[in-house]
Amino acid sequence: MAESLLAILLVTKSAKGPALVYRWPPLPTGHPRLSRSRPDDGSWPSRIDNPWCASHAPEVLLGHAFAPNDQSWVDDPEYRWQRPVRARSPSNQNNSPSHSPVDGSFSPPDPAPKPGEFHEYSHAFGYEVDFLAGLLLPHPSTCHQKFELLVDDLAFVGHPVCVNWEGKWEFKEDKMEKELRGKESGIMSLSLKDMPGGISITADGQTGVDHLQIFHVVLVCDIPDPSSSDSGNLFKYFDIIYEQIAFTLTAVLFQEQVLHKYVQEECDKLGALRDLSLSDREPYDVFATRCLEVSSMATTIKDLYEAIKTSRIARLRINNFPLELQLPPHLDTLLHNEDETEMNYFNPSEEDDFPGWGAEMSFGWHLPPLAPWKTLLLLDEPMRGEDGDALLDLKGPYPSTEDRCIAEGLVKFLETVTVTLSLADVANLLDWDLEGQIYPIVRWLVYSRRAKIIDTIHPGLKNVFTVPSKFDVPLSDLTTEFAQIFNHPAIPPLPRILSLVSYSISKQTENHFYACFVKSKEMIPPFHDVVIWMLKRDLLITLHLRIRVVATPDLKLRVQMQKERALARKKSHSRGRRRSLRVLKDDLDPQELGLRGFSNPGVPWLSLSPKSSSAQRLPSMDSACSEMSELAVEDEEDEYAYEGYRGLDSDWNEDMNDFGLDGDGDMNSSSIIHDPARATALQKKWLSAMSDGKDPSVAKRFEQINQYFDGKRSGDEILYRAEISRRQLRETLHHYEEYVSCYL
Amino acid sequence: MAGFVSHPMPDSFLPPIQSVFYAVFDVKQGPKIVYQLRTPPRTLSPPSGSAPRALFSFDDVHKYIIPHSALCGRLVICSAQNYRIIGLPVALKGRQYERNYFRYNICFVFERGADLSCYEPIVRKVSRVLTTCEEESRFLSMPSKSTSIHAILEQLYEDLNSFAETSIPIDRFNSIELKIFPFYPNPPPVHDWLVPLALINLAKRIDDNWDLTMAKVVCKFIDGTNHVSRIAHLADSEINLTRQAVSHLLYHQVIMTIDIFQYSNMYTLRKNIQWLADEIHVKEECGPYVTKPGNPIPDWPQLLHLYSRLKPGKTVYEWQEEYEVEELGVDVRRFTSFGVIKGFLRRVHRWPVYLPPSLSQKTETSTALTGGLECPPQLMPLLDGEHHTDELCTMFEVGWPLLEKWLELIGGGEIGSEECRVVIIYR
Repeated sequence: MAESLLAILLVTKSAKGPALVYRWPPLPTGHPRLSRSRPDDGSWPSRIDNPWCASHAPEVLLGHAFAPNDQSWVDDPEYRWQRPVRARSPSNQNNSPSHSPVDGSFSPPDPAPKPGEFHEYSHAFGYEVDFLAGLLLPHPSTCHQKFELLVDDLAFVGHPVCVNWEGKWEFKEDKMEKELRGKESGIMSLSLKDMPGGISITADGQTGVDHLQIFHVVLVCDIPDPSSSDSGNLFKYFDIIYEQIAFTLTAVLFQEQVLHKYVQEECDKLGALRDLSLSDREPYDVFATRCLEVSSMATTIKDLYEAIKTSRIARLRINNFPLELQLPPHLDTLLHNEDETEMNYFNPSEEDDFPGWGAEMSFGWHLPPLAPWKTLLLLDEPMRGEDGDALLDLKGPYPSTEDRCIAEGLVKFLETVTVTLSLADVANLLDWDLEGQIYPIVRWLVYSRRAKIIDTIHPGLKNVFTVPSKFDVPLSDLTTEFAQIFNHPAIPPLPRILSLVSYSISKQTENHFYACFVKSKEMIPPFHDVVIWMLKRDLLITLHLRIRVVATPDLKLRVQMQKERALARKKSHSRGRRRSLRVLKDDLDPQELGLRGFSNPGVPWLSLSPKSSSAQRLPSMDSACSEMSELAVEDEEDEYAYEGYRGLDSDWNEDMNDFGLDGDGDMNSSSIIHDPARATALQKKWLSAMSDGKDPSVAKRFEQINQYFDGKRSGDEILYRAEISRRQLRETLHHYEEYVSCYL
Repeated sequence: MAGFVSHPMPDSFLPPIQSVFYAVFDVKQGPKIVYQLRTPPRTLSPPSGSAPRALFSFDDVHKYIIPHSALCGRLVICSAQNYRIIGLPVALKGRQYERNYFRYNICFVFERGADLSCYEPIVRKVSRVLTTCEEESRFLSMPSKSTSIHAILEQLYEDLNSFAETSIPIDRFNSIELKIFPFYPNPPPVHDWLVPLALINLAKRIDDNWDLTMAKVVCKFIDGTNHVSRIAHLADSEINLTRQAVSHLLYHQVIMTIDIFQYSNMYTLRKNIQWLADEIHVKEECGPYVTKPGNPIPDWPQLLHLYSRLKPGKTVYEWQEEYEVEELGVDVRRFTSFGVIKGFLRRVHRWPVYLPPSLSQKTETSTALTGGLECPPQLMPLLDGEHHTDELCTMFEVGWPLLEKWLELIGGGEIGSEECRVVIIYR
């Protein structure tokens, strides 16, 4: 929903001049504003009216302090801000002809004075409609682009379009094609090449110059209190309204105007009706309602407005061209400070950037990642009905024989998908391509709000759930609805279920849904329905196992010992080699460098002697290879020693980096291997040392799957990616329990 | 725009001004730009459009810059190509003018994506001061004086871009004093049960001119343990004023609010622990902060494990006993507040819900209400799952143990048992 949307206007410029042809709602009103700061509810007794305070008992004061609410200040004419309505003063009228600037459009001819009850015909938002129309019709050179105008508390957003330089409505060859292709929804399949007749087509049989020159569908929004949201969000908010509504609607209207002169004809109808209503002295709202009977354009504007305000998908027909428009469901959160409770599960920066959803659903949707281990929960039950019905339903607003094949596939998909099957499973069952066939359907179903992405539900309901920190609907309403639907005696009331679910997580075992409620296989079906009902209302959040690998001090010591032994072996092996190289190796004696013990990882660096610090100038193999390096001098004389030394150096160097940068250096404490998939050399040694003495098959599996133990991937993801069973994962974790840290 | 050298911005949150210009309605030529900033050159095209590399064409937007009188006196933001123009058109009437009116506008140009909220007061004030000057001395409309407007534009541009403030003396009586303030959103409401926690050393910032309540509240009682109503009590200040003082500090983001620490509290990890656990500032600061003096500092994996065992339904006391936290030398209060401050731990509240009994059970419940205790009658209607126990505790000025007893009394059984008609949702 766009809570700030006040009205949708249709403004045109024709031979008769600028005109506000239609608006819905007929009498738009903005949110009330105060012209002066209201006394704070809490503090006013102690500040504003001290004599009165002094003469009353504290209890009375307390009662009064809470009595006024926001609304009362809004109603108070002393406080309420009125948008100035510029009355035409005689001097102004006298001046107006002489003001008349170069462009006559911003000084429209004064309409004849209207009686008071017809004020609505001539005024909107405190402006004269002719002036407002002129204001909203930009210079032709700035048509066919985004229009954005903010005046005090109102924002006008739209995409004006105009005739070409010949005065004809025609498609612009490249630009329009690009713009139309840029959009996916509704007109996503619309390309100029698809249209009969190719590029430069105009309405059949109509020649000559069109009298409609510009039309502009304008969305009028109330600029919200800037202090209610973080800076920068406001323009992002208007951008989305523009992209999702104004641009798309205008694109279709423009097409219908070019092909069928639709907009012009509708404007003519509305203009004629306006004249008739004015002569019949009908109130403006009666006129606005009558417009709905004669003009499909008026109906479209009304339907769109109401759909946006009620957060629904607007299913429009523009001259029989079907069009679906909607705003992201969580768009309005941009205007409010981020609620802490929501951040927990829907972190915009994390969730909304997930690439699988495409540009349209990337913002304001709060969607979980689209991933193969997730599943689809269908929200619209009638869709699961008989084939014929489902087909009819799913063909949606694009019924044509070409779609039959797609619709049949969709029905097949809908028959297969259940919450217990992951999308990957569905792809396997249908033998469909996940990316190419499954995901587009999922995206469409989610976009059209017929389904939502959830975590796969265990067939035996052995999922661990928790409850969200905030409910969208009052609990009492949910409880009543729940009680009406689920009257099985074994099903407890909703608050008790929520209580037990929220408490269950504190138990170490038996914390899944089955153990808490179901307890017998016969009860799975009724409780399955309960879970589905709750998931649809976002009352359950599936918890996931996440795993991290921890290198313990014992392990580190073991690895250290192994390495020292290896170093000692290498050293003794190469000690018999050339004397010159020995000097270098002595420089790198691990004991001297403080590798042994490592009681304090920082100190060895600081305590390097000038002699040993020369080794510090060997940070990489590259420098060793460099001709400039003093260490490269002797290398060519002994290949073996060089290799041995280089290996030694790189090992040492990498290890030192591990110690220095990752904070893993303290041998006496545990450390987490943050990203086992990108483990450093030392971490790799730790990981492999964890498998010492383990069963080879388990060790091999651990080696394969430890890359996913980064604390970010869920259990489901690990199972999917590693292609192992839940039992195998459990077994592996059991064998490595001293090195893994699991949490939900 | 090639060749444009942007000014180094001391505060990067402020969008840089791309250009400033002064436009009037010329009695012969119509709307026109009189002065525009010359550095960088070629910022705007004159009305004729002869400049080769303009930011935008003035002809496209002049109807919003020198508009009809209905738009004068209003803050107008219009867009042209890649730029956003903010101005406040002014129309002055008077017989001294050739056509009995004078219209002008001082406009600031920004990149299209810029957030202009912090410039709105600037634009309004510049317009207000210059209008006053014009009314007093025809500062703008007298050809002999109007040249000084160029110097004003230049100083506005340079100073606001470089220092985010400026002071421009205009004549003996008028000057433009501007400072751009960062724009903060309103703080969340301050509840009596919240504990303010200072993020900077507030005592160092205080001076004699501060509000008295603020001085009293800030100096002594914001210590990360006192909640708002306790601070009001300790500081002997009015509760509403205390709330306002705390709210003011919240607005400036120098404090944050956390929960009252109690051993009966419950916490749980937020999702962002997934990446915060890898952050150096979290894992390195945690140990030293949460360990009592004189104890060895536990390593991060151990602390993370302890954090992960804080669950809804498990009180801090139970958790502490189960994982022998005391023996580790961990200060539990600091342990939980560290997680809350860093944002990876959140408080779990208890939301009691009363389940009305069926008709057959009604007598049973009413007889159960005969313990030595009596609970306030106002409590029952609040057990609808919309009020958490912190709220109820502060409302009835009781601790959780007594409230729990009341709930058991109302529910007719121990909380969590099958027969109890009060259930608690932990969320």
